[in-house]
Amino acid sequence: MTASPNITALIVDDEPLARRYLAELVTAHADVRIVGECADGFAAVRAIGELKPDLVFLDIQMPKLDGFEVLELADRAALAVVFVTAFEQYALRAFDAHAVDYLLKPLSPERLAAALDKVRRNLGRGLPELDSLRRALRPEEPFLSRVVVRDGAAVTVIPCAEITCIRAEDDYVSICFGKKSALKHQTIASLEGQLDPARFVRVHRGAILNIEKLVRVELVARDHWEAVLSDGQTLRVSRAGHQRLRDLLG
Amino acid sequence: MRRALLDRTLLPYYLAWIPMTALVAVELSGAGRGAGFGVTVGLLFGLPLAAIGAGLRFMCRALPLRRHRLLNTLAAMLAASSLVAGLWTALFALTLRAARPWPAGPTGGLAGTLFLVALAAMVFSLLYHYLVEAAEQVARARRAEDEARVQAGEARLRALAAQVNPHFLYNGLNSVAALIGAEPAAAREMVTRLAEFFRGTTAAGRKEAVPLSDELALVRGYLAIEQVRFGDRLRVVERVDEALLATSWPPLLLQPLVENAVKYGVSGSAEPVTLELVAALEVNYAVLRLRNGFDPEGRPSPGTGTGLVATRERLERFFGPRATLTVEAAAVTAGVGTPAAETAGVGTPGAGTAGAGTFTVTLRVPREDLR
Repeated sequence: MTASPNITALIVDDEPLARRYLAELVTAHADVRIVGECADGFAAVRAIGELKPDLVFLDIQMPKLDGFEVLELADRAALAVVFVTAFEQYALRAFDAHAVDYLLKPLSPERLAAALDKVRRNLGRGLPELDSLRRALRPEEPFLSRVVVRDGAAVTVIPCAEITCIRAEDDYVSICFGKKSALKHQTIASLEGQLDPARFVRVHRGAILNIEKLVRVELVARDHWEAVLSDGQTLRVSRAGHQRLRDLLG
Repeated sequence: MRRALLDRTLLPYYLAWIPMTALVAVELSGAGRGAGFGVTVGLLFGLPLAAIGAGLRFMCRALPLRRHRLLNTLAAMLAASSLVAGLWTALFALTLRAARPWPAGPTGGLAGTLFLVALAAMVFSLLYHYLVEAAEQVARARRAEDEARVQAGEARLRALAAQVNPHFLYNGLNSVAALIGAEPAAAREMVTRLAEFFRGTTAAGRKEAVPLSDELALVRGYLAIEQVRFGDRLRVVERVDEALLATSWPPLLLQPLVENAVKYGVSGSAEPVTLELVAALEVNYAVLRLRNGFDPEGRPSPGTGTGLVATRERLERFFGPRATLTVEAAAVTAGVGTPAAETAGVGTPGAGTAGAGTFTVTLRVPREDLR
């Protein structure tokens, strides 16, 4: 078999020893070539963009950005992912259900071989839906605590507590925080589903507001309200949105 | 003896003697003997009787009421009461007769009345003592139960602390697997350290108290294992006053705190993090302080609170309420001086934009409470 390297792989793990060990195990597979190693989430996002690897070995708990946030920000069109994790057994079922493979620490050469077989079979298929996987692996954190946004090479991490409001703009959402705003490629409905409903309210089809940044609601005309936010912005409030606000504020 | 007769629980008993003595006085004042006679004799007869009755408490303690020999005990008590009442009445009557204020005429009736009064008083005393005894027994049982519950709670917390985080084991074993090829000597050392750490936590979990030196040895072993894993991202600075090494502490008190510091400080930060461990004698206190850096722009750390609450509880239970645990988190984010609303981290991937945070846990125990 002419095993010319045809799978390029990136290793993302914050522990140097763990990276070295995984790289060592991968050398046994002649068709896989390690093209880079990253120690944190920011570096991983950049490396995925620049090196365009076929495969990424991805640690979940890392400084800066976690594994899920890296995937959310990465150009992931044809990226195969193998999570490297120490998660418990119950969570592993979640991996199985999402057709993403995983390696448990301590790593085993046999398990790596099996994961690489799966990668070879599925190469180029792209990523499965990650949201429910994230939720299954983080039962203690059902909603986002922060939103990550990438603009070219710059990554912005916005803690949810600082978000004032979110407006829909075609395929994007514009997230206002402090005096700034950031564009993110996501639909407003999908983002709404990831946010804590006790804090974020969809006040009409195109806007979500943070209830803690709401100053007052004014009646402008019949069935037409306006929400005034702490930074002075106003948002139109639909009848359904007004009902949702009233439900939440009691 | 003095203490037994002036026991706080006897106050209602003595108070009850006031109306009883009054009754005797009224009874004796009848039949034309005069109020003066009644009161004098009532007091002379009644007050010593009160003391004798109080003394019966010792008998009650010696012969507690038990179901299987209830009748025997009651019979013995009745006999003893009769004997005491009879002796006192006879002694009183004889003394009085010798002192001649005893009224002329038929006195058998008076002696009989006095005997009955004395007997009733003795029975009352016995009843009172048994009631008090029963109440005390209930209180003692409740105290013992509380004590047992506290002990069980402490044992449970210790067992919990001794339970090594499985991720620590998996990561440690991964380090061993990584080292075994290129650095077999380091791998061997790692295996030994892991074994020592597990042996140490298991042993400590069974003890009520350990010298600080033992706890520090355990923590050092733990940190050495994590340093292999994290490389130069984990730096440890230790400053320990030798005078404290022999003092006793609840076992596995520092270990979970150190584990937290590594988990939330080192794991969450791309830059090297220093963990500072101080054991010092300050003016009136022994102080253990653990300080670690963290990245305030990292993922907010969930659920450190319960561990700290348990540690504070154990500290207070061990040293008393004057021992304290305080927590202090200070964060300086990348944009120094900007308002809080702008703390959102903006960074170029890989550019390392971490602000600096420090998290400090301080345990403070008054010197005189040290063991």
